[in-house]
Amino acid sequence: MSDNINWAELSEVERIKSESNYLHGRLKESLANRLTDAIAVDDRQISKFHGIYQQFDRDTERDRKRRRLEPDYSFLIRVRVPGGIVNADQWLQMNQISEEYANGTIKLTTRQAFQFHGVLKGNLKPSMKAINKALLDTIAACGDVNRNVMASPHPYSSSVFDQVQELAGKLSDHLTPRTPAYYEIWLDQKKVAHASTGEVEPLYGPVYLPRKFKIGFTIPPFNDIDVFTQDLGFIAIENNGKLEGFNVAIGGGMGTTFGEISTYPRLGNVIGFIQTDKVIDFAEKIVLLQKELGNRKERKNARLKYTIDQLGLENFKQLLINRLGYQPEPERAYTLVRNSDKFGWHLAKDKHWYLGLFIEGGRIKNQDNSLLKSALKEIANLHISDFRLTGNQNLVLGKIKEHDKTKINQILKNNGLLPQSISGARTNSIACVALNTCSLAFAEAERYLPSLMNKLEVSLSEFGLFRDEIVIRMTGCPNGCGRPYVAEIGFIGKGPGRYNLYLGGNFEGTRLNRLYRENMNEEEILESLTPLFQDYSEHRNNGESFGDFVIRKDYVAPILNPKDFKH
Amino acid sequence: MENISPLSQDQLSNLNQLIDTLQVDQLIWANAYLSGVIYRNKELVTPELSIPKENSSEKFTILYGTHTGHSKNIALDLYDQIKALGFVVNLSALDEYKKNDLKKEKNLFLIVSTHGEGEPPLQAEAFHKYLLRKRAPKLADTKYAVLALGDKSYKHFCKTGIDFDGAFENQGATRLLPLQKSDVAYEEIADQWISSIIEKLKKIKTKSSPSNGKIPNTTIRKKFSRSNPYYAEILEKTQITSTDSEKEIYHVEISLEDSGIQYEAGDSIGILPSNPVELVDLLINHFEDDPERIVRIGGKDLSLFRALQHKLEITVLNRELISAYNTFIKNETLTQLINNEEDLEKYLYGTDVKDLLEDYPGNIEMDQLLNILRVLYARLYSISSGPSANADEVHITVASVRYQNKDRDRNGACSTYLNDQINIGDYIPIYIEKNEAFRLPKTDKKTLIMVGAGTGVAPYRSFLQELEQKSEKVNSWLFFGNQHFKKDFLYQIEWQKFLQKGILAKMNVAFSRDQKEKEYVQHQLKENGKEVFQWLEKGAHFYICGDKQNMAKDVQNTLLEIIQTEGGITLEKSKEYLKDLKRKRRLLLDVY
Repeated sequence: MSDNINWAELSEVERIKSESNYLHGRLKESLANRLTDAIAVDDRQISKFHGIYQQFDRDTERDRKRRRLEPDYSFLIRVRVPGGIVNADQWLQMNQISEEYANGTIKLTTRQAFQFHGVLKGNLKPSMKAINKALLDTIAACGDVNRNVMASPHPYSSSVFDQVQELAGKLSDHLTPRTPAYYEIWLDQKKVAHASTGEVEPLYGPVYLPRKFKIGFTIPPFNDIDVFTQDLGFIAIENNGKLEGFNVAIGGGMGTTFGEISTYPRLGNVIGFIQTDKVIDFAEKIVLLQKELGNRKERKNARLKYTIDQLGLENFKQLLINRLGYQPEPERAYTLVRNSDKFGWHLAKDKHWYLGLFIEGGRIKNQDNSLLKSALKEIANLHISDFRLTGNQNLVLGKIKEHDKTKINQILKNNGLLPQSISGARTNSIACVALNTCSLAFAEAERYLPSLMNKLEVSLSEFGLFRDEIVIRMTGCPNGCGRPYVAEIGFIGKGPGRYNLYLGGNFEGTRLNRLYRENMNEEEILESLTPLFQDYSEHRNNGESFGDFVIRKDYVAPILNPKDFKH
Repeated sequence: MENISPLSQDQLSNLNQLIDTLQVDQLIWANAYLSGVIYRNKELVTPELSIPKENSSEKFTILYGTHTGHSKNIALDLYDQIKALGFVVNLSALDEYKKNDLKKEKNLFLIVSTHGEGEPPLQAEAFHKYLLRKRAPKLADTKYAVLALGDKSYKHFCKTGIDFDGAFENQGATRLLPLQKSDVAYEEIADQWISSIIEKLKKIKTKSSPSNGKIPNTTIRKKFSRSNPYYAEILEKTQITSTDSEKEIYHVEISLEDSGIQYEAGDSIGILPSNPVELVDLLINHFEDDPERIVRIGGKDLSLFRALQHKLEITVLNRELISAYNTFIKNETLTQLINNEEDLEKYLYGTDVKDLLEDYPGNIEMDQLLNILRVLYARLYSISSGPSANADEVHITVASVRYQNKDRDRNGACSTYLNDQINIGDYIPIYIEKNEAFRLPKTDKKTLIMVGAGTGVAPYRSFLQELEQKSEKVNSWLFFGNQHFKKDFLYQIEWQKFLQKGILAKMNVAFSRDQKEKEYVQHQLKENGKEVFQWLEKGAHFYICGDKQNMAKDVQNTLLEIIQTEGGITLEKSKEYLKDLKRKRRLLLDVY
């Protein structure tokens, strides 16, 4: 940024960041104020950098106001897990925190993070300490910084899996903010600022990035982290069991705003191949470019995807090459087959067993006779597996020895989790949190999708499609947390009980979908999709996915240029 | 037994002999008969007043000792009416009265209330001490009458008045009227007492030379009172605790439109409640009586059901009722209970008339019961609206009293009447209960520390609204406590706004059940002891409102500790400091 900054024309968040003294804000005072369960307005921005969102129960807001009570404020805490793998002890600790300080459930996010909801202000600090005790943290889980670094947790056919995971962790460390604020506020620790330069934030500086920044690693043939939706995506290139390097995709991003045509979802462009040892430097240079060039006036247009389109991809690439001091090699060949997860037992190349479990809405809880939370706790207590959060809100129990398989099966059975009879559509579904806590939501998602799925399943069964995998994603708003823009069937909330319906993403996650029907209630959704399911079951080609079918049959035209996307 | 009656030993023993021979119903009849005799021939049984001669310096003197202002109001009424007859009359609060004048008094009228465990109001304390000491002045030339205000639910009913009445007699003064005791519903009795005095004076006046014919321009204040309530419309009724709260607390807005009723911050309103229908039914069924049967209560005919619902106290018991009840049933166990103060106190808590009938069954008829039941008294609620901001309405904050005892749901008479039976658009009988003992500081710069738990926070809403409306210079600090932050933070949004605007400088809260260790307002007070003391030293007024039994005591004890610690003084000195605050009306209580 230039030296002559005109704060007035910058977005409000830029002022708040600059005044925050490297993310201290007035959080300590906010936490000490016992007259409200909220924190100060500016601190609501700063807390995000610490992994904390202030929320309130939107269900009771109006009623409480009538009673002269403030909204039922609580907080979301997002725990970063670069690569998504934790051990059994860490799982147990998360389980404990959810019961002691949160609403008793754990949300597995679409970025391989843990999320606690309903944490009261007074419980924030104990929660943060407990998270730290589990050797996990929440810094930069949200905010205008590099977020949780994703990496595929599925090792089944890869020999380079561990290497990629390790690299994701290293890159995450490299891009983590260095401010001592986090340690001072939450952990009562003094942490010395960056020793070598004496600067507090050698990489980010005092105002951090213009907007969030997302990085993901995927190992073909899996695309379970949706590599093209990341600001910066790395596609591992493996040759005879050796990691050669990565194809690099830049400028992906999901978030849009209704009524703002300057906003659109965008898939990353693969700009070439780099060697493994260049990954960290490459990522740093991209982050620095975005820091300097990103739009700080209009947050809606601040992501890397807009910076790139503003400059033109070739121009941006040139700036990057100048900064790197070398030119990336030409893109290597790779094949992606799916952006969803694999379920059930699999033997991987490391001779260990892995069990993929579908977690509806990513919510770990006990419900009715299905005691998921208890079962996972029981399994963790045996210390016979690790726990892997996928990019699709699901869970993989990993590194399991052959003779331990039956124990796990037994526990799942005892807790009403096996045998599972779930449709192919449901197991490929994602729902964001939405109502009642997310302040952005226009409509339900996590609380509603299961019941909509029940109805869709009736129709799917009727046409013999119960086992067929179709990627369905629902979000309560167009900000895109559930990556609805690359689903084969996408639902985006417009208002209570009303959704836009998008079709035509593909099963691999390499194509954006397009608006098919607008502002529909449940009945209209079912009426629209039923004939499509029938047509699909009767006229699909062998192995043709639903997303490809609706394009071939001209239900929607493919989106070739992201700017053609419309709500 | 010591003879404290106005009767001679002989008269007294004759009377006792007669009483011993009387059955209960005969006694009741005799009681009524004697009342009639008294009412018809008051002048027969009371001495004549000393008549002030024309141009003589001799005068009538009215003295009052008040806490809330009731005694003062009665004294003012009496003053107006005596003056209206053209007599010279002097009116004084007991703490402003020159004790040396006492010996010179010819006709003295005293109105005084009793508080807590039989204590005189602060205003009467010094005079009480003075008159009850051994070397009190002889008052052989003085005639007097005492009206004692009290509350039958307390053990030492009207004790201060009794003390004064006895002390005057001991000093040789002559009773003009027998000591008149009055329960919380004092208006009717006070009016009668005044009438008795005025009738006497009128008689004297006709005997003596008429006055110079000037018509005094005192107007008798027409006002709504307990006996003449205003029927006010309910404008709003909202539960202000959350749906999942264990506490059921309502904000109620009541219209005063066109009533001419005015109030000040600190006042209360009295509401005449209706008893819970379930309990009325239980009582009628107990006697297998007819709810439509006409009975006579307070000189009026009405159905038994209405009498029990609207006229008589049935949800709570008191000592007098239990004793009267036992004169009918003559139960040995009950006699023992009556004589054991500690057990009696326990029994009185949370029991109602149905319990009494069941726990101590005996030979009593419904009509006999009706005769001994206390008159249904008004429930008082501290007003939670500021008069300047809400001239035409009055707001109150009502917590429902509900509990289970002996497998029966119990409902407080007024709170559940308001919360269950009364809705927006309904009319309820109300009147304003002045409370001079709980007022905003009269100083230019107002510094307030306000402590309130639960609905005890109500008057502070009134205070702050008033201060905001009048844009007064104010430095205020509120301590509030309740069970749960999320559920029971009464008027939370409004305090937050007062804080933003600076009307409220500081606020501290204690929510007892949000953590393992119970935390109450006094703990917050103690934690901030240093600053609290600084505020006191700078002249702060300290207010306490809410529960009397625990909260008010604990807060005052904590205050004592703070003064002792922060002031670096002994406990004795600290007590004096506190007492001095009370005397200067800088420690003000509205507790119940």
